Amino acid sequence: MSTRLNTGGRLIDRTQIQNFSFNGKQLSGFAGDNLASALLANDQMLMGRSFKYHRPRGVVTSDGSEPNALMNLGEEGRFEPNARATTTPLFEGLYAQSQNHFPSLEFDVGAVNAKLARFLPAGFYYKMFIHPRPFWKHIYEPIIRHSAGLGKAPKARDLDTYEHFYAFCDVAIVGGGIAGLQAALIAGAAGKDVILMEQDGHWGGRAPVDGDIIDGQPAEDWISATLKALEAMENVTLRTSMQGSGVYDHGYLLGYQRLADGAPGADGPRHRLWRIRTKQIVAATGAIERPLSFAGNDIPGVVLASAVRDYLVNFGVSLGDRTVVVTNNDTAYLTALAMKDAGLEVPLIVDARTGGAGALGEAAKAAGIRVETGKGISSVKGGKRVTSVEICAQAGEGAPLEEIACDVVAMSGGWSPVVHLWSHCGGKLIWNEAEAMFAPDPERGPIGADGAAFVTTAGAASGAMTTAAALADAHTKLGGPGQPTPAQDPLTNPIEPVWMMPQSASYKLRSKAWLDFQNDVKVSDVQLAAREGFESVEHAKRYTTLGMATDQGKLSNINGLAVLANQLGTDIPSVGTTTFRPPYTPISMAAIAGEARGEIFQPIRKTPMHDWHAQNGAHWEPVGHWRRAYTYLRGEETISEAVQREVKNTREALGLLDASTLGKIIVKGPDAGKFLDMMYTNMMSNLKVGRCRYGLMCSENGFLSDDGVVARIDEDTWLCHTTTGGADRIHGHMEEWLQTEWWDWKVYTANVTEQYAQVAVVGPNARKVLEKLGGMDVSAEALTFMGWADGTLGGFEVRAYRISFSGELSYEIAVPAAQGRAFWDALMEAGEEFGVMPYGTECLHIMRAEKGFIMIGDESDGTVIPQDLGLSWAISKKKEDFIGKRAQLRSHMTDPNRWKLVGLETVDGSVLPDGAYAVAEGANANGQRNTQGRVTSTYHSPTLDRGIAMGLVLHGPDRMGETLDFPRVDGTVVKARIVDPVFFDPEGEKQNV
Amino acid sequence: MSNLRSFEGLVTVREMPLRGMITLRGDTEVMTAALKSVGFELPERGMCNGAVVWMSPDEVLVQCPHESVGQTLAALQSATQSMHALALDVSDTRTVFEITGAATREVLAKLAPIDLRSAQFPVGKVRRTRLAQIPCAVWLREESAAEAIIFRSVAEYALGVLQSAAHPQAAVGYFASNKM
Repeated sequence: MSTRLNTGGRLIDRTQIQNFSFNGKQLSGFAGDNLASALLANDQMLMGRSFKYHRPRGVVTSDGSEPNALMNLGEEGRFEPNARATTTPLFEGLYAQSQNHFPSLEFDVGAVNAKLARFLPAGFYYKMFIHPRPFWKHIYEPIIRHSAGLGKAPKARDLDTYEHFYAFCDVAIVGGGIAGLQAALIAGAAGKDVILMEQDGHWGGRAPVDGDIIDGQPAEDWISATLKALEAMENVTLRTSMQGSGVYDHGYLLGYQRLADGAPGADGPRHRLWRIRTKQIVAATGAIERPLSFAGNDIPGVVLASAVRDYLVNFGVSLGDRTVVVTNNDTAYLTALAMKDAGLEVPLIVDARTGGAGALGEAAKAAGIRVETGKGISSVKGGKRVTSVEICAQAGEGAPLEEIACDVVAMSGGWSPVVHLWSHCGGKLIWNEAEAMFAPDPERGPIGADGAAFVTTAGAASGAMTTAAALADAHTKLGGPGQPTPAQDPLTNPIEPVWMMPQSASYKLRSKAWLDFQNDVKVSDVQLAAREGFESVEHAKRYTTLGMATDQGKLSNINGLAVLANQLGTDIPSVGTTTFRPPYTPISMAAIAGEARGEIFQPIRKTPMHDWHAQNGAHWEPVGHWRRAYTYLRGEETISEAVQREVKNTREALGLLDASTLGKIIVKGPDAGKFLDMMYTNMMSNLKVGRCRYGLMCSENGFLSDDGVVARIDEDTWLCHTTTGGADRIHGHMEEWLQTEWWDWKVYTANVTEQYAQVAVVGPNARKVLEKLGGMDVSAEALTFMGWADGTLGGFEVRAYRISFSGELSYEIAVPAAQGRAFWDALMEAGEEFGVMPYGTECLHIMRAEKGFIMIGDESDGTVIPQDLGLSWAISKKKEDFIGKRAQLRSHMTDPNRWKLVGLETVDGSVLPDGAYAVAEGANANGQRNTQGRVTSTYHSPTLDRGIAMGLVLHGPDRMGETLDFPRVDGTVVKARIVDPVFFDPEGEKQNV
Repeated sequence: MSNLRSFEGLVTVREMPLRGMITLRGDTEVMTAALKSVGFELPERGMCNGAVVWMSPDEVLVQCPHESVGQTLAALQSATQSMHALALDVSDTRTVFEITGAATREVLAKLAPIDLRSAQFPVGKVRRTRLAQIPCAVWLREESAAEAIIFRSVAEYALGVLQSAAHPQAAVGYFASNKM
């Protein structure tokens, strides 16, 4: 059984007991524990079930590479799935549940899959569910989806807050082990701005656990002295619990800082995402120990050798009374010695190498530990816990020589440098035959803008596997002065790669030897994939799902590709690795979102009259980032009733529209007229001062892009109105042409959209209310249709435009934005006797549709040219050029078969469904019904009391009076007649008064 | 102009009263001459000298009391009458927030992707950047006081993100002024 020893545990505080709950059991640990160490201290070795076969699984590592010990952590608003117990700090009240089992961890129905394992080989899903084809979508996929996934998806809203932090520095160092500390010391002393981050809660990495001697002193002392020196440097920033998660181009590094994971509910952000720009990234990320592939290596109690001594030294936790160590290198001997030293039994060290270990081997023998060389494990016995191992000759096929009782198997298959950050931006690897590992190739790093590598590695991440080599590597890479810090390492014998144990294991053994614990991929699966032709490592990965789990193959990658290489009869370097992609371990989605949630999820633009609308029943519609009133609800009326009321009132009395959101761009300069003639399809240079003109803008490809009224302010100044959503885009469009093509034209533009509040005063009583406010002459004679004038109204400085989008007598009045609300209030008050009502965007849309005016985004969709919309009158034939002109001459654009704008009037008076298609005879090559037109805008017109619509129809303008069929979704058909798109007041008598 | 918004956290944020603002565009000689006519100096490119703020290579923002904006605008327009220039009243276009306190750089660094270390962002240096999702122009008036200009329609959003960044328990301690 695993238990807490009476002594030891450098990271825990035995005076602070912390109670927690696991699968409903009340347990306790100490401050400084993580969830895994606390569970082990309570003899809870079984921590989860595997994904495919639901095999019982215990913890296998002591760090972020953990594949097995995944938890559903917390509840409701603080629930998080797939939390690795090994990196989850313990705290009072922690609530955890293991995953992927039903009904319980101890008794799991899904474990029947394990009995069926021989029917669930690699690629099973692809093979099984491909026939019959329709079954995938309707039967197989829903069932598989139900059983897929490890953790549960959170259901409640996250209660915590998150933020970003943009940091700039000279050197960002990832990894607070001895190499990272050494690197920071050198860079800091050189006066550089340094950020040093460590993903764990403590500094020094595994040097203190492994008992390294640095500069003649225990590692722990050197670490604390180095930290003290770093803390005294103003230019060095030190952060623990912060992972260097991803490296991106141009020296961009993501730092994922966990501020409150050990204290949920604490005031302040839970995670902070550091978005770092740095001249140099140093990946001092250490190395990960590899498992060995022998039968039963996934049974709880089979743990990495390094993890066994981590739990012992860091947390005072013994994983069991009798530990068998199995290894192909010297480092695992440290585990045997540490366990023995703690008074625990180590019945055997199984060393696959015939030569055994160096100095540590001698030490083991001196400590009275039996060592068997040239041996391997044939299989591990046990169900939910290891009970014994069977020993065999490594060179053989696995015939058991001896069975040894034990409750822990500490395995080490060698070490893999953590090359992830080096590789994220394309750093290449090189196979190191002597150490049996992939290490960064210093000649082929990720290249920055200056042609030099912007990521360097230091220490074990470079493949410098001893203490002295790691410190020397950091010293060289950072260009430290003088000699590197010295360190002592025991003399070791070289590693001998072991990719399968025993070397010629039978199929029976291979099909129980796990590579990927989380996704249940075994040696036999990778071999099958190779036999079936999945020779590329990327293909084999996807076929077998090796390395595709939440741990992204940190333990399985190298072992898996070695098995693949053996099966293909090639060497490891020619198989290569799969691609390393950020993040290093999963980071919270909320940290990526940062502050962007709730009220500040997205900026909401508010006009100066926004609050009035909110207080007066506005039913909002998002338009760009603006909120505009769709309609204003009164009493019990429905949205549709409110809209109909607003249309009627505006046509019969007086309506006010907040038009502040319309884009307003000033264009000024000696070449402004010439410039606008290029921007618009029609002429703007000959517009007279004091007059307005409706204009169209097209893209270079000739498609309609925006429209609006242009006013000439003075000799060399124009004011261009754009659509609400188009303001920034059109301003950018103008500046792009000015800055990249016509940089020598003398034109300045300015976006003054927000300088003005603008109110459309619309209806038969519009002039009356303005005259009542008084100040300027707004008579038909003084301010004619399509004219504008500056003046005052009711004491406000205004610019009044006599323009109409509704067919009514209409003015748009602009006032400085800060006075917008007061001006609106004044209009509402003065308008009372004239029956004033505000109206929203839907009323605006209906009124323009009744008049046959097009709306950008309804009648245009990026594929429509003005000629399609009967707007040829707004396309200058005199001008030599304008943006889009040449494109509009292309054969497809002049094709007489392009659908053209018409009005549509339903025969029965009903409203056509939006976007409905008019069907034609026959079917196309895909067997779909042919079409001959579609609805672009459709409304119930209160003025005409029937459905009206606009649409694009094949040869439409030539087919007036014809009836088209528009099928509804429910299978019924609406019949509509092709009519003129101007439904109301075609002579324009109402607006011209 | 009442109801100016404000809050206190890691920093103090105050909405400033309406300010006279004029966009002036032209080449350097034109802007220098025009500014001289109203008693202002063109600051070094990229800087702010209190009244005049560099906004882009051919654009400055001229700040003056709101009451005198008409007068200043008229003077600038008449000084540039025969030249290619643009002078516009944009006083109502924007909202100005003042951010004060030792954590000023730090709070800005949570929202603006710019290098705010003192060597790169000294007092008086102007950056046009963004505050989270909205455009912003910002400079330090003094070491622990910044002014940030944003569009008026998104003033509430700006206040919201500043408030979130300035949460009293969200100190980062990265800059020399408040190192942790």
